[in-house]
Amino acid sequence: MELEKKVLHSIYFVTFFLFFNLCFITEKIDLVPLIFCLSSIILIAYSNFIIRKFYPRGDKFLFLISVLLCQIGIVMIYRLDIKTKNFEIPRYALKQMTWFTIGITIFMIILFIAPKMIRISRYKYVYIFIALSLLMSTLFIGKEIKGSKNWIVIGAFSFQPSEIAKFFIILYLASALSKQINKRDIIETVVFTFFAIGFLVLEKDLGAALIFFGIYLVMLYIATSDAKYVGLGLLAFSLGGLLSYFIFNHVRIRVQIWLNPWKYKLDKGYQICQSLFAIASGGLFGRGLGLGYPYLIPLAINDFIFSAIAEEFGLIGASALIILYFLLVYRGLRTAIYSKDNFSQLVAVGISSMLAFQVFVVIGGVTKMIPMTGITLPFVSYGGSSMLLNFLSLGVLYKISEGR
Amino acid sequence: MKDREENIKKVIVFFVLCFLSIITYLIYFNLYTADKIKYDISNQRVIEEEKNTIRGMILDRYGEILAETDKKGERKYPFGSSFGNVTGYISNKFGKAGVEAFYNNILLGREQFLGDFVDVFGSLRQSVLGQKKKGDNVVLTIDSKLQNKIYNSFRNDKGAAVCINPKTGEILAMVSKPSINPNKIDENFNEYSNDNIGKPFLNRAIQEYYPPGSVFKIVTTAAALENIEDIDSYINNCDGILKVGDKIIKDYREEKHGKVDIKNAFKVSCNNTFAKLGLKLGYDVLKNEAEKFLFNKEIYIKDDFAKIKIKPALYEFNERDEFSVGISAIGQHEVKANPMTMALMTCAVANDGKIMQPYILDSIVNYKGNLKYKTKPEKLADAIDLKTAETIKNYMILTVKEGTAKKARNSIPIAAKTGTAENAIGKEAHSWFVAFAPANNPQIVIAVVVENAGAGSGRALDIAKEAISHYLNR
Repeated sequence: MELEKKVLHSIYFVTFFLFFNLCFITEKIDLVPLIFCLSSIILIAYSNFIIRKFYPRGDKFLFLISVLLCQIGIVMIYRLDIKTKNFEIPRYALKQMTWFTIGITIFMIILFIAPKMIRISRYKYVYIFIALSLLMSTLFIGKEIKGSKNWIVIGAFSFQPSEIAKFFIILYLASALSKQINKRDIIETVVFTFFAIGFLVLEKDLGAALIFFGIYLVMLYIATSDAKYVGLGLLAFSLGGLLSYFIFNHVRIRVQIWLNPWKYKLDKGYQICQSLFAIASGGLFGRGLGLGYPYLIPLAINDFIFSAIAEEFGLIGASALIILYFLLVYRGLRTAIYSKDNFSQLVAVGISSMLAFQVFVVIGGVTKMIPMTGITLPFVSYGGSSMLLNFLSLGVLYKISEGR
Repeated sequence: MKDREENIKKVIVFFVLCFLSIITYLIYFNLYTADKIKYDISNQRVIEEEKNTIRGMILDRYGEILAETDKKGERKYPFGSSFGNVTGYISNKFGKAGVEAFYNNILLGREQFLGDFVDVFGSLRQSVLGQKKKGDNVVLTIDSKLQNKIYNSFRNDKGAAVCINPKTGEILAMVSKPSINPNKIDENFNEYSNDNIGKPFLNRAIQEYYPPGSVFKIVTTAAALENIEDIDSYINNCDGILKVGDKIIKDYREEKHGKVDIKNAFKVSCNNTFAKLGLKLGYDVLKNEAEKFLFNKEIYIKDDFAKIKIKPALYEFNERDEFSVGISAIGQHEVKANPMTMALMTCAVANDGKIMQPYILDSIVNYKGNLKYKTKPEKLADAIDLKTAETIKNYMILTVKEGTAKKARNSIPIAAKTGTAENAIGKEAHSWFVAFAPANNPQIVIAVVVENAGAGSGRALDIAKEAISHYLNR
């Protein structure tokens, strides 16, 4: 109890400190960040109060780490809104703040209305149907943004179905694998997952494909306790990777850029090179919030927000962020260990590994450790659909942690 | 269930490794890759940063300003063309060259020095108050008065000259003519690069090749003194023309020097004698001796911050028939050199056989004038022993006293060697002159080449003589 309070107070302090810093970036002292800060703190305090009062048995660190990540994200997005000295409204930060609020609301709603986890394990075909139709939909009515055909645009509102599909795939896999399983069941999951990943590769959403695959392997391993499936999976992955390298041009391009981005630094490799410049100029301690040039990175508020953070907060700040993510994943998997039933356990494992793989693929990508794939950093990157999905998953995770 | 708990723990370990690998990779990236890519031209941060930095000044050894940024942010070079090949230029369109390029990081204040962290609060205040960052000043070893003097005495001739302090390796002057005017680089860039005759971008002092002519006899003399046992009693009868196979090596105006020993042959620059000595020594001995004087070696103008390549003098060729070896001993055929390499050769004679590492960066001071770095002189090579150096020095003194460099006689004792480099048929020869002074305690070594100035070293000698008396009487 005491520890939670301390952590909460530290989060308030960090939030205040970061936003306070933002006031002094512009030529004239800007007081808007303080409004952001105040709203954030009120929102966090209020939701924390409700959690403690009505759902005290859950793992509050899950919630606390996530909201801290959100604050870091909003601060960075606000900072990236300030490109010129005479800026007026923090457009994206304002939107992100809205998404954060909606995300917390969804989190609360899940806590209020979600039934006992075990009850929702029956509808596995519903889940896979939803997931596959979401993925398929983009093939027909999807729009190509940033080189991936994985967006659906309805009026002014656009979202990535693959984000939501991830969640349903986890539900499907958990319900399919939580029963007594035989070979046939496993083959069924293989077929469905194969289709899901196939769609993603066709839509050029390679990052999501990689994450789906990772989630599937981890869940299969936990469900069967059989390491041979992991081996088989990795073999299949290597073959699939090799095949798609030769079949799909866009896969080949990604790999070429990864091997030598400098050759393409003015066209195809522009993004990754700019990202590396940012990280390089950050050094150990970073340039300090507002003192670097992170707005030179394309898509700095989305996929490349990690590079922007590395530029201004340095290696130390970037490592701290990675450790925060690890703590979140750790709390998620800990929830899985203590969960009562098979289904909840698999859902918790699925959600935690989704977060872990996503973080690994994004950060690995923007630092050129692995080939780059356009994916958002959970809770930090700008974006509505990912924010909603992350809070949805977090709500479910919290719900599971209550049942221990 | 127990089994699963174990497996989930394994998954946790797996993710720990994943995340650790990212952090490890980032540390590796920061240590090894970051510095290599930081200043890539496609990194716009570099441009943004340069805009927000007041570039440091370039100063000569006495604090005279060679380049500074004025209040409007424009780069000004008070001496213009005479320093064009030294300071180089900076241009948004055409990039950077010379000292501006080699010491760019210092001028932009990017180099970190030990004392800097004391000033952390100063730079923090600067960035908080939005003040421009101030770069460091680069102090060169160049003496601007000497440089200007030499540049002007070239008048309209093409050529180059280098002055070095033989005891330290400091470059006191490095003139190349014609040169560029860095103040007007944007307007004149195309004109400069299209000038195929004047080649103003070519730094003739270190990047051009000329046959060294008789100046090379210093190397041949050293080889003879070190390799021929009875050199003291060696006498040659010079009749002005030496037949080698079906070709002939002539002396200047086919002058007959009669019976001469090596000392007198050096004094009058007798081709006949030195060609014969060269034949006696052979290609390998001459090459070996030339390499002691840093021919064929990779050499640089060097300090801890920059390495500026000098085109090394060359003594290497495949046609090694008697005629070729004979005229190579008098600095013709495939022998090539530039004023910097000939100055370094002369330094060995002036400095008891030792050649010091040439350098142009005297020191770095910050905008407040505090010293940040000072280059320490270093020995580059032991070319010849003290005795050989003394002997050649005496020959060079004699050359001024009563030999080919009589015109260089002065109140200050000068030691010198003249040279005439035959080049393309039908064109006037290049005039060479190497010297040091005062002969007993050398302060300055100078090597001058004037293109197509005719035989007899006249123009080069005049330039060098003026430069020496100007430098020593300041």
